[in-house]
Amino acid sequence: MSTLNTIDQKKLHIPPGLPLAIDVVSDWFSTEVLPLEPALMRLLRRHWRHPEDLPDLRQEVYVRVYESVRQDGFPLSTSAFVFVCARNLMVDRARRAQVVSFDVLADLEELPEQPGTDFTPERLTDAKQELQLLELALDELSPRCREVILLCKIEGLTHKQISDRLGIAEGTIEKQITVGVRSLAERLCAQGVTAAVAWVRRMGRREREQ
Amino acid sequence: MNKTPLPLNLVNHEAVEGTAAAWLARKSDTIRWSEQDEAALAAWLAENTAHRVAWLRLQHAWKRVDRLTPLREQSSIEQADVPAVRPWRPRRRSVWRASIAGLACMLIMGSAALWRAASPRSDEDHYVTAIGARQSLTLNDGSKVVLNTRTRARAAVTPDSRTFWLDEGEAFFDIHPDPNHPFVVNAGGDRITVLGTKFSVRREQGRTQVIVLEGRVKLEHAAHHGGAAQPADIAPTLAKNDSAVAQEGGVLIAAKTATQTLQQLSWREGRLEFDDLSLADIATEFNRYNRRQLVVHGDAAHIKLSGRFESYNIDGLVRLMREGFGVKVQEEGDRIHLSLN
Repeated sequence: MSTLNTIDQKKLHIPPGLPLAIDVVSDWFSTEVLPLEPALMRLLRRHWRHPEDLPDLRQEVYVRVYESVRQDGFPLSTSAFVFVCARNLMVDRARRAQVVSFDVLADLEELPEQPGTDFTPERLTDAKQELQLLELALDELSPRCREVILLCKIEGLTHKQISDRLGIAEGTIEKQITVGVRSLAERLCAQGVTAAVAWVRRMGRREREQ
Repeated sequence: MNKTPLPLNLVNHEAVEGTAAAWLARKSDTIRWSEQDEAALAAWLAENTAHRVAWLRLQHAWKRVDRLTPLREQSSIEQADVPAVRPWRPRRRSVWRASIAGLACMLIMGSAALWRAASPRSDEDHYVTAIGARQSLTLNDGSKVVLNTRTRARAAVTPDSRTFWLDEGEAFFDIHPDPNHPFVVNAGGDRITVLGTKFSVRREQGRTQVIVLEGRVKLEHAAHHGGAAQPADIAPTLAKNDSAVAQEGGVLIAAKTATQTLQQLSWREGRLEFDDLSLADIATEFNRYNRRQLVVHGDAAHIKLSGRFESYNIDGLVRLMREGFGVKVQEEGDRIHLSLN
């Protein structure tokens, strides 16, 4: 069937074939949802009293978003949809928690239906800031970990080659990358460019004041 | 610590992330990663959505580190798939050189043709395409280039160096891999460097856009108009499905989906594809390809639509706007005015 010179069926809001293919949802998730993580973390941090729960909450939001889109198709507004999922999840959890404090619940139920203007994706990144962020993220790693990751990524060495070069076991290399990628994800995904740049500025200011 | 007690059936996301990271670390050893490994990973991902989202998140961060990586020689594994570097074949330029008078004739005839003009520098080949034209060409090293509408370009490809200038317009490049001789595209003051890659460059007044289909692309942005390119240490490396725009304020990079990338490159097949684009932007695109120009007035500019059109089919678009959206159409010579009232 030729679809040239026509308007896409999907955009006329005729539902596409459901459930959506995994590739399609995964692609959308990576490019549309993950850039919202800094905003999502700010939201969770602001409204959930227990900071150690935050990574769990975040992943639960992702699971709900992913499954919902797979079953029902794409939302009209990704940021509004993620916001609502996060809000509903927090309310659910607070209700089910054995120790319920009414002011916590009241606070959450007062969250608006729509996100504010600061709940936006960090999608377009200024190249210079992106590179600064990457260097910052790599700086956070232990020297051995950073070395392994740079040799793997930049030099494109195999684990055997890295093992020979650094004189460490291949199992250790896998472990270093495992630890390293999680740390990178924390800095790159959760914190994002704006926070990192602000952090750098604060550090700079503090140095100047001393 | 007063941790909120969690319902019993919850996933341990911390453990899941650990497993996902371990998978990623294993997969990073490209030489040892087998088909069985790939199948095992796929099975683990399919077990639970929590596995999949943890994996996607880590992958996202891992890929971003690629922006830091400079172009380097292809690894020995990749090299095995690359055919031997083709020997340089000299072109017989004399056959192609057109006289100035000949050029003028072609312009008057308005043919959608490509010609190689007599160039003041004998080592550069010049290329120009007319409105609505599209032309494929093969460079001396075997690289293939597709020039889009209204494009002016120059090429100087020898056994020792490969340089291309995109002075105006848009081109898609399928560059023959040669780790020893980077292929450089100059667009305004911006410089794009690749080793063997598929990507497009679009240059218009003060603005360069680069879209990567495959491989790695280094983008050095001119700090000031007409100035020298930035030092290489802050030039980002773009990877598959990245889309970058370099203009006065700096460089913006966006990661797109595979589908979006192909949509942006559909012009190679003579097709324009839009996803939720305003009529104003659609008109701008169509106007690149046609002598008749769309002029959109007032609120009609805000109408959004998605679809696919042959780039020459202005009439089809206009008919759709009139019948599907009630847009008023008024033709005045070479201009087609679209409005809502």
